[in-house]
Amino acid sequence: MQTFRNIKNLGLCLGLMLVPALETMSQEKAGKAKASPEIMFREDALLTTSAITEISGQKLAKTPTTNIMNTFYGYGTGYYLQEGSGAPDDNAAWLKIRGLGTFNSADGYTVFVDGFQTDMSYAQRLLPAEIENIYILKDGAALSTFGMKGSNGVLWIETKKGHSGKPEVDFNFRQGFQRPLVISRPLNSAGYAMYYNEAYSNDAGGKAWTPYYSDEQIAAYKNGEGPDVDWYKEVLKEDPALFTSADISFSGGTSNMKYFAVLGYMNNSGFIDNKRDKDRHFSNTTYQQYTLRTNFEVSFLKIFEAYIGVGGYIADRSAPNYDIATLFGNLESYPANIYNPYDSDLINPDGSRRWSGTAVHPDNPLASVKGLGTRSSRDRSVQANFRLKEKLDFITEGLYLEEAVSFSNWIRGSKTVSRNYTRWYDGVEQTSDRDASYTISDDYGTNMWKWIQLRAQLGYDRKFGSHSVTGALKYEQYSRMVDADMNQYGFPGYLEDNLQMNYAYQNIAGRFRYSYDSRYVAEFGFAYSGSDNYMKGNRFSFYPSVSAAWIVSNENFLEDTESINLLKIRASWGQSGYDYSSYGRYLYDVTWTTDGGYPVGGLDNSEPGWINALTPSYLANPEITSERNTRYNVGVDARFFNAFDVNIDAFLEDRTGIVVRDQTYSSVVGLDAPFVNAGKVVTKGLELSLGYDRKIGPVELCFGFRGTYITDRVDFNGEIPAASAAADPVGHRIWTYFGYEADGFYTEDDFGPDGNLKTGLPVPSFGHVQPGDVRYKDLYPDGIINERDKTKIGNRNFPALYYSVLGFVSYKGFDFSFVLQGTGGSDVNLLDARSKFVPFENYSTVYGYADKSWAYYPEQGIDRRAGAEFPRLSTVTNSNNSQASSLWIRNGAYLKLRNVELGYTFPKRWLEKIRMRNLRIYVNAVNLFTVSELYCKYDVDPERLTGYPAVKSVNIGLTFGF
Amino acid sequence: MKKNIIPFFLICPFVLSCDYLDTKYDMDITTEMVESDYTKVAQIGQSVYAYVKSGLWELDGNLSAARSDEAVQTTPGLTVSLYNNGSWDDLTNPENYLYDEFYKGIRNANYFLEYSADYKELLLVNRDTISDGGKEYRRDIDNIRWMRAESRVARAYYYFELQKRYGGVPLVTESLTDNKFFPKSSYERITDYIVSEIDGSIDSLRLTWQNSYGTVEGDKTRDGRFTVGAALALKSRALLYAASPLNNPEGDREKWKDAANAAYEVISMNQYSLDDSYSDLFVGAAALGSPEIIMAYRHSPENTLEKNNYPIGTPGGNSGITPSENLVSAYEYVGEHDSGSSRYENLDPRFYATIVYNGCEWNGRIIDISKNGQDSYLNNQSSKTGYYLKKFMAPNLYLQQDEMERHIWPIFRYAEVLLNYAEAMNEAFGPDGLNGKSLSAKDALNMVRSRPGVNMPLVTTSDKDEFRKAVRHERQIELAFEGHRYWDLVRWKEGDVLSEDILGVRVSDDVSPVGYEKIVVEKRVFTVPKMYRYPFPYYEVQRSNGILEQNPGW
Repeated sequence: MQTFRNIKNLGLCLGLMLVPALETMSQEKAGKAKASPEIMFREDALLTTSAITEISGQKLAKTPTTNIMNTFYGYGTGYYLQEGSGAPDDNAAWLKIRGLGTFNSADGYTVFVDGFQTDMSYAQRLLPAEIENIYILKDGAALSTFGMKGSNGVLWIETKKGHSGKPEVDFNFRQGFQRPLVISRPLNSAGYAMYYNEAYSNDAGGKAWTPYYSDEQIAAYKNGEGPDVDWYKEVLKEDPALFTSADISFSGGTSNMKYFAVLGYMNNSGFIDNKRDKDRHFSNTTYQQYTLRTNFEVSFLKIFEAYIGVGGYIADRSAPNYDIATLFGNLESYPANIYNPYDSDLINPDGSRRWSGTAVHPDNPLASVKGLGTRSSRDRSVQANFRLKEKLDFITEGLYLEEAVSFSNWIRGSKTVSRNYTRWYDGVEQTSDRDASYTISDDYGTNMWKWIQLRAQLGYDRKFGSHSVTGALKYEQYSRMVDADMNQYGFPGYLEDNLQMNYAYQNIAGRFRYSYDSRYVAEFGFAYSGSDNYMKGNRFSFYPSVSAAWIVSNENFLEDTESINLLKIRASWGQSGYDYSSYGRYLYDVTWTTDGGYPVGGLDNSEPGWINALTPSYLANPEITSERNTRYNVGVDARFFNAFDVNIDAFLEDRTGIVVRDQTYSSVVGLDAPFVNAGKVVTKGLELSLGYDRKIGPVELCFGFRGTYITDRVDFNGEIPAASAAADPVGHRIWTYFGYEADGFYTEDDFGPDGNLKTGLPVPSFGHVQPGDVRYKDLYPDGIINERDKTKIGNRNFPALYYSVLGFVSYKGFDFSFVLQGTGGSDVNLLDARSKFVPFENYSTVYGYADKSWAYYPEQGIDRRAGAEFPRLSTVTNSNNSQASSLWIRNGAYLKLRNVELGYTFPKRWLEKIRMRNLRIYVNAVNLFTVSELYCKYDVDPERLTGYPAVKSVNIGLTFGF
Repeated sequence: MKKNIIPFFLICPFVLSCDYLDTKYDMDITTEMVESDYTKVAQIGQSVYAYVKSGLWELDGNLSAARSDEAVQTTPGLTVSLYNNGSWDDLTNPENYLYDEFYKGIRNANYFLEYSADYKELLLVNRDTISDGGKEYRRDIDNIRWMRAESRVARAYYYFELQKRYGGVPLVTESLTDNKFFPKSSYERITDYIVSEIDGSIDSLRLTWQNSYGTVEGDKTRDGRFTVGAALALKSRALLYAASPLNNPEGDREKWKDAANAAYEVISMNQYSLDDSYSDLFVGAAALGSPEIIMAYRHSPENTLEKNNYPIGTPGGNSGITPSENLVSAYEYVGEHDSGSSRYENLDPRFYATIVYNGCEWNGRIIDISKNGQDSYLNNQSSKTGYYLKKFMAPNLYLQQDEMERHIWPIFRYAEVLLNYAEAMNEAFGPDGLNGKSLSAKDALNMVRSRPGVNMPLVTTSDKDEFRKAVRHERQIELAFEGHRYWDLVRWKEGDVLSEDILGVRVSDDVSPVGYEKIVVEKRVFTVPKMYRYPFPYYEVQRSNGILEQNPGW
């Protein structure tokens, strides 16, 4: 069976490259084929006509984190993962499958666990130990049955099932030590004061040095006499944050009955200092999770096969009673010299010290985490699936019927212990906040969602000689209920407490495959799905797909060639839709909002009343329906010389009917324009996966490259063409940066004696300018710099190229692996991190790279005109300089060492004596280094410019089994 | 399980048409809910007020004074600078959004008038008219009737605000559901519409909300909505603008007569009179209940205005809108000014109610603009003009503790009507002409000047041109910072005033009494005749495919 061997070989290095070699070897010996998803029927790895990326569950354990979305950077092609916050309770990486695809910001992939759709708040908390494989479904053939849920790709997760054989027990323990990936620290008080003097003088005209801080004050800062607070140091702890996880799984069974069970525990603390101080204030962001899953399969009475899978978790989290994003915003922007954390050593009546705070810096960062109390919440989530299959071979061989039902839900109860504190400054109370004692408020689960899903399927699977026929037809429906507080799509207006939103969906889908002699495969699939978001009559749409594959290596003329182990050519065409838009649901119907109004009354010193204005939210469009994504894909899978693997996929996605606002409507209509299915985006891409695996004596080598290049073009966006043709989004990539082209900085020579720009020079329409301000090119030469001069100033903040280099070496019991992952072709706008790059604005602080700003005070010995990178400093918002312009655009490309691991597996012969099946210890590191312009020049994470930082960690681990 | 699902599966092609997909999230108000609820019908009526504007927020979240010669904005880079340096256009006009908003207001009025056309029947639906003798039903009938009249006045208000900016605009008098463009109607056509809408609704408007009259009870909680007086004041303003040089290039005297008659209608109501205290009228909530206020926008307690405009030397302040020397030097001295006394002694009392100047006490400290003073021009973001704003500001707010105060913006007040009357009567009949009325132009002007506490010497000229200057000057002083100055200059075609240099003062050292030198603090660009009219917003012109013609010069 040549074919069978090919499957094994293909599986070896394609997806499982980084799995410890012994595991791989044992799989091969056990005769396991490459894993493939069960989408209506179990996909056949050789015959499949689809483009699917698979990631083995074992790899996910290499990144100790509370969120599985952080665990598969760079393992495959066709997806992009952007790392986000490292906060233990809010750390989902952002996943995009095959590019942005659309400018509709509500569009996202759909997630399925064990064949049923669910919500990320459930799926992201699965443990690596319970995941068999993650699949990313990418092309028209793979997504043929998903209908209105398929437009943005599908994340398909399958959990581990039992096996027949003697019981096995596996134990995993991981201990991680986490630090912020990077923190860019503002300058200290002396540095702040010196640059502030410069900014202050600039704002007074820039001609004379008019310092705000005297030399004595600066000297005092340097001597430690004035306040000089490193707020990060105050708030973040010095020790690393700890991550601990332990899980134990059991599996086994007989030919009629199989079971798998896992019990897991995770605990992760955040970066905030949680030492109790003498006032007994303490809190930190912490996350603690308990997981339990059982998957049970049983067959009985010859024709029945039943499956019950129940998996769920309990998560407890706690955090300071202050928004963590705002806290980090304050850490980034509060100057070092505003005040000391405590106003004085004076003691309040209750024995606590007085917190500092002022009207412009009201939220003392240390008091924010220690003086406001804590928030805690308890999440409960479970998915329970039941499936019953009847083999109807007595009617005709290969026929079966299957029914399935799934319930899943998630609920959060929360408790806030809150208090407030008086803001003091120099012994005087500031702001209207006053010390208050603790109050407790509870929320018993108004945050929740639930799904109820039903499915019935009729299938057929039979071989007639060289002909093989596989097919299935299903009906499925779900109803989903989400509490109004959870509403994530930003519906306008009228919110009341405890309201629920219901979602309903129906789908009829089918897949039919015919193959001949494992050489030629043809497949047809379809979905006819209906969404409740549209008007009756427009609810249902039909999405067909056709695909084919030719396994060339199984042809007679190649079958005996040793050099070509596998050669397969695939092609697919298929359509799918998506039934959400960023503008909400029911766009076919008029809904009313009470935005706006008018104040009345208020006589005799009473409080004025307010009359609400009730108006339609927008003009309704009865025709509105789902967008449509038409996908084309061709692919080649090959393996040569039993060592080299090559996979190539080229694709084109033509998305039409994206919901946009019809901006051709006149203002005089007096209502916001209706939404229409008019937006168009074309996406093209190329995926390349290369692998090499070889066993040379005791040394086993595996290297791989994964690369995805994606580009897209907006063809229509519903907008009136921009005033500057060069800045019209149509014809460019989604999210392309448009703005002004910076042309250096104004110099003294540009101004007349009265301080005004010399005549003839283009006048910026953003207010008065002076030397050191950004000069823009007058691309539309009318003597004024305004909208008409805008042009493309950079790529977007989304990479065109997403790639990784993977390696694995083992020698005897030792194994070493790494994952390097990088991006290219993206830009970053520094103004997205204003608090770091626009010093002093809104009373914010200043960073070290202020030394790259333009300045000229010859008498003070300051001359940074040459080579200036940033405009002159200012203490206030400078409208001219903070326009989107090429000045602020930087290369967003990066290369990160996502994972590096060294492990040792103890020899079998030692373990047999203590009846152990295996034992491995390892040490690894996550995000050990980063190469990027932003990182190297400004200490900024190119994936996350501001906010709670991402995590880098060193971890140790132990796995063993009996 | 099996039993239930198999039949379900077999009929699934048929269930697809069933109501499984009829979900509705019960968060938004649907049309059915609106139609079954009187409160919601009333809220549709109230929507005509949604875009009635307060001048306290007009430009950059502040007063609009810095776009005229009244003041300069200290904070750099705000949108007012587009007007000041002349770089605004159809794309960047900071008030482009108003074109959308005013037509939304017009649409709300059109829709409500159509929707409530059969309001008596509409209100009968599901209504118990028996148990209370129909009292509640009749009350609701009255409410809707008033609201319908107010809708017509609100619509007139929006059209006036549009024509003030754009000249002739598209006239839309029905609620549209499909995309439709209209060519501009003429300025006269819009004015005629405003007048006819106001005349047509006067009989159904309330005379006042504060007091009962006839059988109708007062309802102070609704005060602030349009009344007969407000509608007539709007008509007076609209006709004054229509008669002004910009909109009446032939100098048609009949238009001035119309304007005078309209102002006289308000005066002859005998319902309004000048307040006894100019200085108190603009502070806190004093204006509410004042006989001078015809209609006012009432703000809840806040301190944005103070945060924006208190001197930077006062903690929490940002200097913001600072009065110009151009305005300050327009204030008259009472009698002869003794050159030995301080520059700011003996001025029109309204000066002290409007402007904070060097040496005066403001918020508990003495303003000191000398070189080494707390408000020195050398300080970053101190006033460039040497003055700070007082009118509309609540004094002594402790901003550090976020202290707040109420603010009232007069939309129409009686002094403006008197000045409208004086201006129109002078143009029509000269300073002393009566034409059968009880009041001459000069009488009206002098009423304003002789308000208790102001008591400025009476204007005596009988020369029409001299008197015109006097009225224009009086408007500049009396209505300072109330959003009139820019538009007055535009309708008088005094664009050259808008392009004059803005002046400020510096203290001259070592002179006693303190001497002041005038300095230029800001250059202004105002292109005539182009900028007398706003450009229509770029996107609106683009999408109209030539139906909406851009104003000349833009």
